[in-house]
Amino acid sequence: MPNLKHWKESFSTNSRIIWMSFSGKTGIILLILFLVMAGYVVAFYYPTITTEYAQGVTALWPYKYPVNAPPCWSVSNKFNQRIDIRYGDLNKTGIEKTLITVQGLFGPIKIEGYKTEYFYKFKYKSNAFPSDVLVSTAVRVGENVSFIKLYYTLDRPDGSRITFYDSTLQTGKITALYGAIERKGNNISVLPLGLTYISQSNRIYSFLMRSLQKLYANTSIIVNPIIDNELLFAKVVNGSKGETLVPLKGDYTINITAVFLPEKGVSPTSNRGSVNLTSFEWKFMPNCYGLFGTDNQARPIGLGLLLGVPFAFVIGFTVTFVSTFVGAIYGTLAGFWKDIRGEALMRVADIVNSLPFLPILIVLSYIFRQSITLMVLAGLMILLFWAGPVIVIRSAALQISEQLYVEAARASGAGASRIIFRHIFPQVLPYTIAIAVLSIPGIIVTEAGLALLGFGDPTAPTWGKMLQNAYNSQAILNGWWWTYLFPGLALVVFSATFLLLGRAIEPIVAPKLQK
Amino acid sequence: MSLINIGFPDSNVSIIRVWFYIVKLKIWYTQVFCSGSLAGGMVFALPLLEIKGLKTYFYTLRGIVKAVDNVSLTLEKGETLGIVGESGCGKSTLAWSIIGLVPPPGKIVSGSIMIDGMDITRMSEGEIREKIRWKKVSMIFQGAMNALNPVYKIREQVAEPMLLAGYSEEKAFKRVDELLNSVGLTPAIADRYPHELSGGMKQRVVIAMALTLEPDIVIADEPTTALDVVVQSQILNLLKELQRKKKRSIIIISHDLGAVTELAEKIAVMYAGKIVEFGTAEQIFNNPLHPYTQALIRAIPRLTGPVTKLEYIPGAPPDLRFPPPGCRFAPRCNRVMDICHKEEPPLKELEKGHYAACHLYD
Amino acid sequence: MRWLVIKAVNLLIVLVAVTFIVAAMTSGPMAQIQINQYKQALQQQVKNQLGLTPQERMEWVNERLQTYIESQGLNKPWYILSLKYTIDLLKFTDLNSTTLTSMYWHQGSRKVLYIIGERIPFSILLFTTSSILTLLFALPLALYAARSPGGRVDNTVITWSVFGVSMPWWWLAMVFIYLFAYKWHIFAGPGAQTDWTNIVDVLRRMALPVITVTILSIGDSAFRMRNILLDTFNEDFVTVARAKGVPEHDVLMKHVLRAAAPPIVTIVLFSLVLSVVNGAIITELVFNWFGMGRLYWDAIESNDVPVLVELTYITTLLYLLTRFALDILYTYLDPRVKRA
Repeated sequence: MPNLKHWKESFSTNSRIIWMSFSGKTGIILLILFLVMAGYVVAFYYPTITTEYAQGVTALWPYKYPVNAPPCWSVSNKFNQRIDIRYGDLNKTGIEKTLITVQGLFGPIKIEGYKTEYFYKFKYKSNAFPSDVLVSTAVRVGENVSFIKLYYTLDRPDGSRITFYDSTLQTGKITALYGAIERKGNNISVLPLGLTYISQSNRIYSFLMRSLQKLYANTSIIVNPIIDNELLFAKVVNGSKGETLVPLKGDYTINITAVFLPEKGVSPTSNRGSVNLTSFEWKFMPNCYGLFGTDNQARPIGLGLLLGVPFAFVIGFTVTFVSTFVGAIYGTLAGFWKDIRGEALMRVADIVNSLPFLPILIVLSYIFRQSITLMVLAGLMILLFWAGPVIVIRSAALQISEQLYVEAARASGAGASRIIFRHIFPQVLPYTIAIAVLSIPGIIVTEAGLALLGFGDPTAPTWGKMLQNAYNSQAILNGWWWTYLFPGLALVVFSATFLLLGRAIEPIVAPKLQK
Repeated sequence: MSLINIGFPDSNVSIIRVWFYIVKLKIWYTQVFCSGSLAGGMVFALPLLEIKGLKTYFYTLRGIVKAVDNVSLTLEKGETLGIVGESGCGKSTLAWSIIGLVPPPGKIVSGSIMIDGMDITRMSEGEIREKIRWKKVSMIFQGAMNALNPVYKIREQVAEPMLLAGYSEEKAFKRVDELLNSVGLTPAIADRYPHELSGGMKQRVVIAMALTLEPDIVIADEPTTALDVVVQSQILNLLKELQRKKKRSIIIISHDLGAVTELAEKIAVMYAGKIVEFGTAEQIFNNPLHPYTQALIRAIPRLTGPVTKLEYIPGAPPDLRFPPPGCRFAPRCNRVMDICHKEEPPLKELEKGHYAACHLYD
Repeated sequence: MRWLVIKAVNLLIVLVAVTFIVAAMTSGPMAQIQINQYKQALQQQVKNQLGLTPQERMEWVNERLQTYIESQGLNKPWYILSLKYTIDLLKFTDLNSTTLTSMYWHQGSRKVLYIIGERIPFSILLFTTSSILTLLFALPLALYAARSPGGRVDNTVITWSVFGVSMPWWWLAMVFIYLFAYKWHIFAGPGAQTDWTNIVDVLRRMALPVITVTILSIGDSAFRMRNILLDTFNEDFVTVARAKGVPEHDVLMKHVLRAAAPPIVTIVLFSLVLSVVNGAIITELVFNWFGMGRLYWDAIESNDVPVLVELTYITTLLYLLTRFALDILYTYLDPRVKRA
């Protein structure tokens, strides 16, 4: 029986041999790298951020990151300006008296009213357009305001003006002119929303559309129903390719002016009789992000790659180690029993082995699709993959069980379980490890495939799910290559790590190749 | 080595005898009066195979394995040489070196192998193939089970070297039948596949295959190892017959000293890549000088004589990557002295034609 | 003949086992779908029954539905139902597809076997073409690699196989579609208009999938072949052949290749078949190829359980038959296996 010293010695020589081959060295370095990443994710991101990432749709991602931004190294013309105008940045004039023209019964009447104005001036310096401008604007009109008119405009350096709003508002409540409304109990907050895919039912749509159409009236630029934020900051240039849009640099002024009339006896400065801007933000999003870009839900691809590591480990390790361990014990038994029992075991393993894996896996996942989690997936895969190593393990066990010391142990009256677990199984173990390591890539790739078909754990941000998201958002057609290139590469590197390691281990456990 | 022997075509036996004695006299004369210097007239008396200072090393991942380390040997025409040693002592590597087929991580590092006046260490692969393999040297391989290609019929495999040598198919196939007959098989076997034959039959086929081109030297590498005892003796008898009738030089390689002494006239005992004792079969068997040889002989079970306890050699052969300094057998030797661990003993002639490398006889 | 019978029996056992598993898993939804289909048919019929009040109409339908359920045994426990569906599948009893049909063609239902039948040729066309191409490229590569292990060709083959195995095929498909179809416009992409009855159109559409699948499978096939060849190179009979003075070229062609042929043909062809069964589904989906793999996706998307079940049955059947054929091929290549 090999003693501890022998084990230690063989471990040190074997690890030296693994390290000596190129594939072993690469494999070990990559494995350590991946383990560090997995540890980092488990320590700092699990479970809140991983779940948030996997579930995607929330206004938080687009607020933090640009949508569909390519990696920065691939963009030559970067929007490199930081413009984030918050409520506190706005200049505010006090409440001033002004004359209001009101349509009376017999023609216009001039009444003395009040006016309050918010404005901000910023310089647009970049040569590129932002990927989007996130805007939130909400106004509260007091209950006792009898007349209100709000002007919301953007003055451009060329003197033209874009109007976002030019109308009255409901009194006695907060109106979100633009933004995503989020209710948390009684608190209502308005989060910034991108201007790019502004919906036609939105308050500002018609105003914006009208002023943009006026702005580009004499050009060949067609203002689409889907308004692109580029149009706000663009000028038309006649180039070789016809008329194109380039950024119009210079000073822009955002102006929000409320003209209002409180009811008699109500002070224009009181809460009930005045008009106040309650939330405001203009945030220019860059047109590229990081090394890896972002996807269509503004999730950074790089973060996804990192978050996917522990889940790849979990699925790969659970499935391979459980199924190879089961297969190893099964194969050892099949090799140990040289009678009808062993034959029967082999028959069953043969049947499982000749199943076409993926079709059956798909049917099974389809049936369990409502309650699919990573562990359910792992269980399904184990059900199909356990028989894989049985044939190899059995022949190894057969060879070992015919060796003299096993015969001797048998002759000296050792029980079957003792022979199996003391003599045969420890010898079979190295094969088992090699087989397990070599089968990890297949598992990872299978999981990704199932994820693409929609059978993924909804709370696990696996690389397969990132690919599914890319596929479903038609990333290929839209040219968002970064959304599927990097997750795929991560998959390839991860599975290649184990393939390389397995191939470095193989010559040690299979003495036949050593010759 | 000292005794130079010349074989002649076996057609005319009486003439051979006469020639034989004339030559022997001449040799004796040269040795006595010319004190070893070869006269011009002695060129024709070159040995059939002469190995000088051969070193064959394997460059493995775990280190350099010195499988054959500084081995010198001579084989005359018609002589049978036995090479004996434990497994892993470099016997098979020596055989591969002779036929120019050292498997990949291995290389002939230095030394020369002269076959019929041609140094194969200086020949290209193509030249060795054209001139040496199967024409001068053929081989009966260890593990006859795998020496035959499973997908070809026996006839195709035995006839292959002849077809390559330019025989017509008809002639070659006829010769296959003859050869099979001569090794005691029915020619009907020629149309079978290897897996349809028993181990003994396969070994006979392999022997027949080795004889196709009438080579000068036949190397038999463990010809009886994987066979059961009855078949073993059959094969040994066949080899004896071959030796007697065809007067071919045979190198028989085995770990079984008993089997080798039955066949070989001379025996070289190898240990850890080196020859430790060399002499005639009688000398080796009756008067073993090296402690290793003595131990080997004591380990042979005897049927006659008083019942003694069977002995074995304690320890295992050294790791050929890091051979011990001094005598390589020293760690296992029962008569070890201080000098054995320091100095490597040279091969010395202790009796006439009996060499040993041991400090006991300094 | 004995081994042939054993193999055939084995095939049948696996087929029955797979069918039963699939039928057991899906018996509930299958029965529900069958009932719904009949109910819809009855509701169509009841419109012709004039002079009935809505109450009477409902009774009319329910009465007949109940009889139908009883006669078909659809209210039996799951194991009986599973057995019924297993036998149905094994007998190729035709199932009906409603949801998938309405998604693609028109209201009503079509025979599942007909739907599968019109897709099979496209799958076979795509994957046999790429298998043949793979073998043509991989064998010379493997020979070169095995001749000098550790050499440049060998390292290329090893690296290639590492990528071929560790890469999801459909991912490379996505990258290739972007590059070759959308960016450089060399081949027809998955969105191209294709008349599936026009052979020229189909071939044009086939180029990109075939190239992708071939490139990916060459690496692994060549690596497997190389390993088999290397093992054969280490066999004693190859050394014997060299010792016999056989020129290196003949050693390679006559001894090594011939002796390695049985495992090469079976293992490599088998791994190709396996990859077809396993890889086709998603690769076809990404390429939008009108084959069986794509049908899986369509069935899942439209929740068409009968199609899914029948498709799995047919895939299993084809896969097992191919394995069986390969077994027979092996025995003809290797004289060691008795042919009696």
